[in-house]
Amino acid sequence: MEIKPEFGVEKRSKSMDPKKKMKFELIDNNLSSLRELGRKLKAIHRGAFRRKYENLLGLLELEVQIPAIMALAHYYDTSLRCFTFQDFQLVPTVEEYEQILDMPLNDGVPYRHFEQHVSIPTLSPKFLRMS
Amino acid sequence: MSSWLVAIKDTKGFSQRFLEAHLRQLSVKEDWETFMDVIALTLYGVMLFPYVGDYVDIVVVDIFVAVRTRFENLVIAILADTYLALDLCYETRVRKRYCCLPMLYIWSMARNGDNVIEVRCPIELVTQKKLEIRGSKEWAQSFAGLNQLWQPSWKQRKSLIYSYADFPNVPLIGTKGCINYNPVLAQRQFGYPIRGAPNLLL
Repeated sequence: MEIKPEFGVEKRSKSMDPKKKMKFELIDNNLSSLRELGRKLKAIHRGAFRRKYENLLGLLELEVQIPAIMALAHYYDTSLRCFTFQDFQLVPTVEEYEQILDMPLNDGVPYRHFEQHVSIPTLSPKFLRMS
Repeated sequence: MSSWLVAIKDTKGFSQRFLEAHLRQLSVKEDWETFMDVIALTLYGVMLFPYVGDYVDIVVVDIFVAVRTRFENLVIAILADTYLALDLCYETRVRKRYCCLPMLYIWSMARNGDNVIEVRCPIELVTQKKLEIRGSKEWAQSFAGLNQLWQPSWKQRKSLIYSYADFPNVPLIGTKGCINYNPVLAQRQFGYPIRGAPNLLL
């Protein structure tokens, strides 16, 4: 679907309408017990973990303030797929997400989801060694 | 292991509680190699690609294997799922949506506010800022007062993807569908029409 910026003005006034009540909720899972588990990893393993999975543990330690996200979501404009503020727009971009996660795209192929699930038996002995 | 799969909604998955119990066992056994893989899988499931509360969707196993064996990059999939969640929240009757909130939070907070510290990693930047806990009203005011754009210190100028092949804008493939976004709107945010990054302390 093509997004046409010129439709912005009309849509913007709609999304900026303070009377429009928030009808939805973006939710986050409870991560506190995982945080505790993550802290069990000692420095030496943390380094190894970071090499394999980037800064996932740093992201885990972050306490997200849900009201902030909800306030931000008020500014989301579905027709433009951006956040429209008073006099400018902000768009979450691939480049910014790359930098936040520290996963440069030129280092690898992007993950493409094709609905082909890996069979669990091939996974378990190799990665998870569940007994 | 497949016997631990639970049916949830329209999919199957592992419960977070089960994986956490498994992690505790592994930490007692001090099997840290396996511990790291299991915690990564769990984090992919509940943090980066959440779908149903407290469960790790079976799709995440596919993602995990793609990363571990083929070193695939998850950035586009996470961004696509975030856009899809935002869109679906507005357009459908499903009022609750899971998406990768920590990423969206960092994305917005790294540019919002004062006391900018020179760090290169945006995650550290937001953690170090120690944002005070505010209520929804205060946050709404803070976003309403957001009227200037500045380049966060972690953002080094680099080329920007504007479009891909014949597709309009930038197409993104997520785990729940495909979507695109409009990077032309992001020009200012990368400081392009203005030559040179505006001063951070403006």
